[in-house]
Amino acid sequence: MRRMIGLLALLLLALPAGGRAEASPQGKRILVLATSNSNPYIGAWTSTFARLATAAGMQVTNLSANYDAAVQSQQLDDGLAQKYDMIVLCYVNDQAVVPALTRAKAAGIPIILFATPMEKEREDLWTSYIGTENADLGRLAGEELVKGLAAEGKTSAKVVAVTGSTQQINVKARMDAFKAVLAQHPGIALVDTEDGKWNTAVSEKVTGQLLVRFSGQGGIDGIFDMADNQATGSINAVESAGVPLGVANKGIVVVGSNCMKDGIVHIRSGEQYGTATQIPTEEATFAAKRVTAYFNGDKLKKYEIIPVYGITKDNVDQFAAGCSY
Amino acid sequence: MTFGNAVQRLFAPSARPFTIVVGTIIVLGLFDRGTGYFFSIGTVFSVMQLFATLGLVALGLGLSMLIREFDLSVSGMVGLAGCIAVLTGASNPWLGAALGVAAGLLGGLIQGLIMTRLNLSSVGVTLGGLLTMQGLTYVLTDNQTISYPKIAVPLGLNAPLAGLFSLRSVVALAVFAIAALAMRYTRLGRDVIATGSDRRASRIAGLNTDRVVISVFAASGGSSALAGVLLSYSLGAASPVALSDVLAPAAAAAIVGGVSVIGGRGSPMGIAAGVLTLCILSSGLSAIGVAPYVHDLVTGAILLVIAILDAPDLAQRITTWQFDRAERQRNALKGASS
Repeated sequence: MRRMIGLLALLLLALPAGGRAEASPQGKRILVLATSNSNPYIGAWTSTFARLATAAGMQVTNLSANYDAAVQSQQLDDGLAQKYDMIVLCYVNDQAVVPALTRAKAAGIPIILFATPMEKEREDLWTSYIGTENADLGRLAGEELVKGLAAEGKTSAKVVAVTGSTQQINVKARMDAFKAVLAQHPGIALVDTEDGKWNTAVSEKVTGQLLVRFSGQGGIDGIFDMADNQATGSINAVESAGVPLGVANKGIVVVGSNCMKDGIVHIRSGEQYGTATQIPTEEATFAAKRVTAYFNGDKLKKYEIIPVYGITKDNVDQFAAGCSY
Repeated sequence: MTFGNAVQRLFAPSARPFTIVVGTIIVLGLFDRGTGYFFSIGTVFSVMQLFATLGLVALGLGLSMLIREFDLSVSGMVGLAGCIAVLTGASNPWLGAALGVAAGLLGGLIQGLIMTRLNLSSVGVTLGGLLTMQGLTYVLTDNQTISYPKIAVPLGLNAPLAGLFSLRSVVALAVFAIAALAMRYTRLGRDVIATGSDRRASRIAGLNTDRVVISVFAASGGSSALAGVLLSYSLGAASPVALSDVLAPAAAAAIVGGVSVIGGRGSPMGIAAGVLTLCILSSGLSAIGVAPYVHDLVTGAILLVIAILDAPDLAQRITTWQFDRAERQRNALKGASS
């Protein structure tokens, strides 16, 4: 017991107070907190932002929570304690992050969200969301899936969705918009939605299970994967099962989103019908510009929205370079 | 006392956890290079917050390791108890906390009974317990994150006390103090060590080792459940997926804290020192801007060193190696002179 008291006393030694940086972009300390830098989209976003913000004279620290909500909450609290000038955040869990954001608000530290905003009733907890409109991504996926099925001459079809982590509200926003498109086509039914956790291997496994489950009911006609790496997983599962794939084969129509290099390759080969732009390097570039402008005295809008575009075989060349990050 | 003796005393199993934690503070302090990011009140608060999350799980797991068992279900218990607390404590947080901890005690008790009555290994039984608890958590939450409606509870639990602690970390420290006193001054504490050192001999000597095993697993369940309740309340949420990955860090903390994987050696204060080491590494390395993957590398290196130091016949091997080397040198000299 005495040893423990001694250890605590040692921790208390020499505790100087930290200080805020001067009011200019130069030397501003930015903490970037990500769900997981191993995710291709997140990794490209954070590294691009760090590079550009550093070039603009800011000091960037990037931490990954590896999808651990408690770790991220702790990282946020650490950021507050170390008096960062701004925290740029892609949260793990929209509920578990609320207490830490409440403390950030009390401390007066601006919070920039990327990749996904929070619910409207939490708008007071963050300064700005810089990114794409998730509902647009869901809408584009729905429209592309309907077009792909129509190209096969199908007006009635069974489709499934393999989503990102279902706890995130961007996933809910995309699904709501996707369902709204399908609602305009009564013959096309969303028969199941599974959590692919933004992960290629999980998506492959889930798709394999869906193929087996619906094989006795005429099979699946279309798959909406919420990111192109997940679409890769689904395509692998369909090909492994020996089920026809792509419009040319009158097989399963796969659409993705968050365009990635794999998606571009699959669209060109006809294995994937379409995807949509959510290009992390472009988003991070825009975010770095807006953050620099903020420290130069500009006001940030609550939603700094970057437009998104659908990508199919017809216009894939236009977006191939941007999506191959 | 010679320098060699001093080093030997510092790295003796009972003192080693405290030596490591002090060494960690000194090394990180040197790396801080006077920036003040490491030696700050904020870092101490952060360390204690991490301690509150990890400490109670490490305590539960460490107690099971003391009796030469391994409670794999601790991480499942954290998630399940947190969900029970959030779901049942919306109007009264105390009720939710009580039910969460009760679930932990009951879960540990049942696992202990299964192990002792059916003479089964703790790894198999607690692995089953872990999966069952994860499944129950999915059912209870309907695979959705559940928000805790009283924001005052997370804010109150995490509000700084004297700038260094929070209610959550004070509770964790208090549980460690109680466990330390119980291990040192009660018969149960001595029975735990005896059971872990040699269960068969303890049984022959008249000790009811089954009761000790059941008690330890109930305590482990209760401690982990309390960690889960505090974590879910402090994050204001319960989730079907774990809010925190605690099993591997808790095992690492227990080992760094001097708990022997072959049982019979360790103490709650040692476990606390092990947890503090990991928390200081995590918060300290973040504070001085080191990439997160380095945390795992450093923790892994410390565990490797401890594993080598803990090798049962290490001293004998070193002596043999020294003897062989001297013998070779003598033979070489003989060969040269002849």
